[in-house]
Amino acid sequence: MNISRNISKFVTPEIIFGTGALSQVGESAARLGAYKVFLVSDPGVVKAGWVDKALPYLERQGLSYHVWTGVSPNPKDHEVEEGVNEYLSSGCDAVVAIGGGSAIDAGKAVAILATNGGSIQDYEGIDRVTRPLPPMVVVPSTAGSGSEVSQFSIIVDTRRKVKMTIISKSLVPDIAITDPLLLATVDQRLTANTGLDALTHAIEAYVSVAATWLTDVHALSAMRLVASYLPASVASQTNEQAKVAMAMASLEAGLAFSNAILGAVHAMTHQLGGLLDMPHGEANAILLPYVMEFNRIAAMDKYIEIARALGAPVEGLSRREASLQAVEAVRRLAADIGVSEHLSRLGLKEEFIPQLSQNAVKDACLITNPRDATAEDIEAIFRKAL
Amino acid sequence: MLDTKRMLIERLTGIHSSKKNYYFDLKKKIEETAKRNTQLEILNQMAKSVNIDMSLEEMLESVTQKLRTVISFDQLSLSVIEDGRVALRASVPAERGKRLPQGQLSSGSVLHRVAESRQPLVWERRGREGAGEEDERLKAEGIATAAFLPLLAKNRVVGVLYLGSRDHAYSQPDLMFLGQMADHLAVFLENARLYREVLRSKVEWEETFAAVTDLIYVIDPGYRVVRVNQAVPEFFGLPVDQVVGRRCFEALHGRDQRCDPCPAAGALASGRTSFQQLRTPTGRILDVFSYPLFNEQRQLYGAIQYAKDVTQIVHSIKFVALGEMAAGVAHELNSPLTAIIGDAQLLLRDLSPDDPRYELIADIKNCGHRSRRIIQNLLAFSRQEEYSFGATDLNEVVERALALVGYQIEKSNVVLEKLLAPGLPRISADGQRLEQVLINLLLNAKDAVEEQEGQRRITIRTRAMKEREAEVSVADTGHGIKPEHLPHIFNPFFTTKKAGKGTGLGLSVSLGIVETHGGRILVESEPGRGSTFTVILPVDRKTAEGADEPAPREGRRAQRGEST
Repeated sequence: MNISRNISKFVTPEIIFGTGALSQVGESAARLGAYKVFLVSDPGVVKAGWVDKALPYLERQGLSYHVWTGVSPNPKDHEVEEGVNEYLSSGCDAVVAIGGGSAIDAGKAVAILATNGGSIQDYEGIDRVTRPLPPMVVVPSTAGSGSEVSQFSIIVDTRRKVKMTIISKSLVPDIAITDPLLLATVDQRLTANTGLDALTHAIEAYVSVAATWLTDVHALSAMRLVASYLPASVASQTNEQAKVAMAMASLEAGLAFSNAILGAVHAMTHQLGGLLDMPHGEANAILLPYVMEFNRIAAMDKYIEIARALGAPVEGLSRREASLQAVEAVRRLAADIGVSEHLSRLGLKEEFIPQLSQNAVKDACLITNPRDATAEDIEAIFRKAL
Repeated sequence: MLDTKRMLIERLTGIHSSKKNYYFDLKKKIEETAKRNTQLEILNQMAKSVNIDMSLEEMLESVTQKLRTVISFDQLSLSVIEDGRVALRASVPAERGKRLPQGQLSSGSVLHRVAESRQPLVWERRGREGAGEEDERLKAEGIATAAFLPLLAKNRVVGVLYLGSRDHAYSQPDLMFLGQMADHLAVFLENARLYREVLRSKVEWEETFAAVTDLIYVIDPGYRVVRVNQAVPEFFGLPVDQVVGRRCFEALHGRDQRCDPCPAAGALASGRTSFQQLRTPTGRILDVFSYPLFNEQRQLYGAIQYAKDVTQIVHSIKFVALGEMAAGVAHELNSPLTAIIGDAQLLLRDLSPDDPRYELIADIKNCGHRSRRIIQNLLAFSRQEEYSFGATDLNEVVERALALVGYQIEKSNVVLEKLLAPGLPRISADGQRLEQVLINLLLNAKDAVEEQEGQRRITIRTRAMKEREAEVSVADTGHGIKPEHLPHIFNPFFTTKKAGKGTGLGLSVSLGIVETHGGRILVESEPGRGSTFTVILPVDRKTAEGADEPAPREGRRAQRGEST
């Protein structure tokens, strides 16, 4: 199914990019009118020293701050609640998030509740936010999530054990600061997973039924960057060129998927994260080739472009063979950087599959998936990837 | 299916949504704030109106225009509830007010319900809540939403504020504001009620103040008279404006400095009630009580002077004391005098008038008689004995008095002229007492002319006045009475005669007798030229009937004697 869209919209925050861009965090927050910053981060980032590095930049602007690091990977509803209580009781008026997708999503959720009130469950779904959010400055510490530019926030409903997708233009941060230096500190496995996460974003956005020429530009560019620099980035924590390129890839993938939305991979991994607290990037990386096999027939031409972007040989091949090269290229890349091919390694058990599949078909991301997928289709993909 | 999907995608990619904008939020906030400010302005204006003298109607009118900018209404009315009766105090538009029920508050009325529950009530045409008897009228007038708010003053419902709108629904913030407005209106009504009450009791007090016949006046710490009751100008014979604003010792006591002693000085200095007895320039005796006045800060800001005219009482007390003394003395003297006079008469009986001792003893006898008269005078003064009134001919009284003292007067080389009006109406009187009065006046006149060079003349004259009164006057050509003595001449024991010559009782006793007869004594006197005392007595109506109009014919019988 192909839905033609004559009118499209492309949303993006102000983007500050470059080595050492973290130094802009204070000025950015001050420019947005902040007096007291609610600094959201996670223990890992604090340990890496980035928070300590950021605070003087805030102080230099005369900003006071309150640091909150009560975020775990896959941020939970109760954490968000604690966060907003701290935000309100400490009298903050702006959010600065420094960290991976989890810290940024948690920061967004706190921002929602700070001005809209209620519980985070009230905002699950599309466009449920009614009042403007406090100013938000976001500094990603991992490449891949794209949360720094997206209108998404994913929060776990601990009672229902599902990931809630909150979608609102208001969640697009005011300023995204991408500093490749921060991305350099993560370990090899995380570099690999988040790199493939960015690739997943780029590919799903590219084949999305809501893709536009603006999202395509960024998606293809992200794919090329990942294909060229991810292996090197995984190989060396100090390869600055590779780190900068991966930061660009992540940012562009983020711009693409935030505007074109995603597909079946994310519809499925959202469930894995909710049920098993599975690392998002790695789950994406494992599922991506299986979903690509399933989706391929829906967008063969685009698959050929993906294969080209990933540097796979397509010249002289049939359309089918050329499009299959895209899947192969992804598999090869995953293999090169040592990403597992099976979800069972991450704790998925066969008995979870039917329930996960049932939930996946209800996920918003499936709407933009190029190929219609039933629960049975999803189940089949899960089994292949088990 | 396809449409649903397209719609979902459009929502996901957000073609119809944007980041929520603070500008809108701010605009909304500013609008709300501006509205709230106007509301506060209205409330403030209402609160201010309570303090200035403005009627409820004027106050409502002054805020109506501003009210329209913060709350939509097509009708507004304010009803006052008192003792189960409802009265309309204001209505917008005004002509609608004529159609509203007044008088006994019906239990089916929404006003009754609001007054009972003390809760605001919102009526909606399509709502479940009915407005009872008003239901039909509200519908007929096209009202979509109506708000009824109780006016609570000290937990009592004193009225109900009504707002009705054809197109507006009252929100919770609207009702909150209207509630605040109702509170102000309640204060307004309550204040007006209290003001009326205070005014009423103030008027009551002022009337009481005015009605008191004793003197009450308020002075400030500088002794300036601030207020007086009616009795003050009457007592002093001064117009109010010559008392108020002037210092009390100047205006009332004719002094240029504080009275000594001054009752107010004590009160103003000590802050406690003080008392003094004062004598006025006209000889009246006043018991003056001074009560200090304090403001809320317990600061002294003046004194209330309460003065009672005790002249009469003081005199009565003196009379009583003197009466007791006189009675005692008279009793003690009577026996020896009886012996003196009796013995002198016995001796005279045995002596021939040619005997050189005859004159001496006769003198003893005469002096005895004189002493007895003095004693009788004293007794008359002191005795509270009953008068025996009877139809009396004033001319006869004059004749009897002259028979007693005429000789004595003529003996002093005084011309005694008697002008008696014939046909005087009879008066109801105790003849003997009146005789005593005339003797007093004649003897006073004799004393007054005795020291005079040149012609000495005493004229006694009777006259009838307008059928109702008869008068007898004694005029002399004596030395007259000094003006400063004039106010005191009727005081007991006041005398200008040489010591031993006068008791100071004559005029005092005489006035007492005349007043007992319902009459009065007029005194005219000119120093060096003489005095005229006129006794005016009311004519007894019954006895006067049949008496002719007295013709001013004057009998004349001059007697001339030579003093020895």
